[in-house]
Amino acid sequence: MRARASRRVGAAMLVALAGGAASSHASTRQDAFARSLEHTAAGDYAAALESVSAEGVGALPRARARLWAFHHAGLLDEALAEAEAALALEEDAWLRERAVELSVALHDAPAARRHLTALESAEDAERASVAWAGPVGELVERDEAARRGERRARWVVGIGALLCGVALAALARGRR
Amino acid sequence: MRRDGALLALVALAGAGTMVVELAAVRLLAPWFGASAAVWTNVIGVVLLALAVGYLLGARLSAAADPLRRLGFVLLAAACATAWLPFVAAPTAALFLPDGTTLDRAATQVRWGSLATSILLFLPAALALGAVGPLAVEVDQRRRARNAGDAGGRVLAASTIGSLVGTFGTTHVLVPELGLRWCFLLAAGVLAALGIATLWRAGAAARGVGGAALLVVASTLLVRPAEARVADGLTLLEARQSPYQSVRVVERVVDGERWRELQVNEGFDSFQSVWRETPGFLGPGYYYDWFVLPAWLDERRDGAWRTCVVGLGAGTAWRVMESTLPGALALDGLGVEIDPEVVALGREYMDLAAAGAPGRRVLSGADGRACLAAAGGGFDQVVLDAYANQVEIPAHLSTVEFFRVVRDALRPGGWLTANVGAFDGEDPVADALARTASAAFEGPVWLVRVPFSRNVMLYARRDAPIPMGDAVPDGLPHGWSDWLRFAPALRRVESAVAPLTDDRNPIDVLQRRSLERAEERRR
Repeated sequence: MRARASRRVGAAMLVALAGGAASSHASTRQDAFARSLEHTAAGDYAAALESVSAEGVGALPRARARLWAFHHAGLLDEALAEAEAALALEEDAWLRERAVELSVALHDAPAARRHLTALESAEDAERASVAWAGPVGELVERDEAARRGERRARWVVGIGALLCGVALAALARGRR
Repeated sequence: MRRDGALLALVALAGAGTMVVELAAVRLLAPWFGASAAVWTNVIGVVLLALAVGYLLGARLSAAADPLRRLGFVLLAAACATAWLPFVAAPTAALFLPDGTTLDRAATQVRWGSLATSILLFLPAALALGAVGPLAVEVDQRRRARNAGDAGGRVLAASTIGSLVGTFGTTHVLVPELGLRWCFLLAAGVLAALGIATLWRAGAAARGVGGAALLVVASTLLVRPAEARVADGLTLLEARQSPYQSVRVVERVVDGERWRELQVNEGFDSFQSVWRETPGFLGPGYYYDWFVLPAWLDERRDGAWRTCVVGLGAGTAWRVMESTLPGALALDGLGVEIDPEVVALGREYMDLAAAGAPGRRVLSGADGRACLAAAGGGFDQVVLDAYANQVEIPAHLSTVEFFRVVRDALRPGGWLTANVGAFDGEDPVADALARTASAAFEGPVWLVRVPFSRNVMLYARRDAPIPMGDAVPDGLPHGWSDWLRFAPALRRVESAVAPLTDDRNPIDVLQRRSLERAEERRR
């Protein structure tokens, strides 16, 4: 299978993440977080994960750093899993937006809709939710069209089989 | 005697028409549903069901006072139903597989969609063609006062011989030479001519109907058939029908640079080969770059790097390797590609080496396993990139016996690199292939995820360790040194038991499970 690649998000995400890092209070956390970002930028993803594995790092910065590492590495499913695991414990608009973004990249319509709904109710996320409404809506529409197509196909197969069965039975009885 | 021969010739041509419809049917569906075993099964199943109904319908119609006239009408009905197939295929398929459906999503819909489309498209024509046999038997029996067995045997023999000619003719002559549209139109034209001739003999009153049917068939010449859509931003350079598939080359421009993709049976978002104007690595998301890794992990740095690519396509693997091998290594390539049209398009649009070019040998129209077995040993690397119908790994290229052939073709320390369509290292397909390769190579193999893709690379080595994980050297290009230490992207597999053998190979079941697993993980 030669599936087309999903594309990287780009530098805007890193800037947003660095902003999240600056809001952390403890310097050790900041250091670990910043180191993780540096390792990710250098392509050393194993070190990036290692940097935020220490106990002193909070769950949220750790999740953000891990998500960023996986996303930058191109393992989008792992990045989404990271976001969802963290969001199950604590709501975070940045993680939620990334979850929307990753779901869209992975063509996962149910997840995209779920995360967008949650994003719409999050504080300070109005702009993000508006920005993602279009891509998510398009993805969901495509997904629903595909599901409708499958349902339609099942109906056609059912009716076709029924008609053929009736025709076979009727014709096989022969003339009286 | 002349009448006798004419009737049998008519039956033979109708038999040929049946096979044209059946074989070309799969090709007609391929741009939307592929041409996998599931699609073949659906088409054959629908045709068989239609023939069964048609036989009974023919039997019922044969009781009439004038079966010859009814035979004429049945042939005209078959002609009309066949003539319109190329024109209604696209809108019918779109009912079940809308535009924009992605490959992984569509794969789960192919079974139902292709079955429904087959019913709507091919059932009417096959049903009408099924009615020809019983009517011809009746005509023959009445005319010659033979017993039913004698008439039936002669008609069946003529029909089967016609089907035989139709089978070979469709695959090897009609589809490649005429294309699908003219293939169906030729079949329809022949059936219409037979129908009109039959009605002519049956009586003047039927001639008007025959003329009307001929108009219906002829009118299709004025209609342009709908084709699978080319995605926005792509320019279609050329499209061809090969004996195996529909093939086309499309081009897009990214940041001023031309990229070309060779697509087969395309309705989705995938490609079979890719060409970038600038030679070298293709970049994130393209697994071809990962074919070069063994040369960088190997100890050799000069001389010829003897490589056999099974599934050469349009030569993407060679194009990447030519300019990215380390040191003074020079590519010496043997490429095996089953589809000659793919090779021809590769030479025309993707800089694939011309026939006779030094250090490049292409075996087109040949099977990878047979070629590898006959190629002799001593290869530095065997690249396995063979796919059929977009997503299917050919069963005979996934067994322990095949991987033993690969192993024997390698020099000690030589490498197998296989592209596996899989979601991750735990994917059922990747897992089964890795364990099978491990059993054949009698040592551990590695699965490496390709970033930004749904491909996993499988690496095996003959009688030598693979320096991955903790053993990976520093300084590899393309960020490989870091990647090959990144545990979530790697999986080491070692198994003495091969799950896939020539005798028992559930690779198609595993591929279905792979998609079902991905779908379950979404819920």
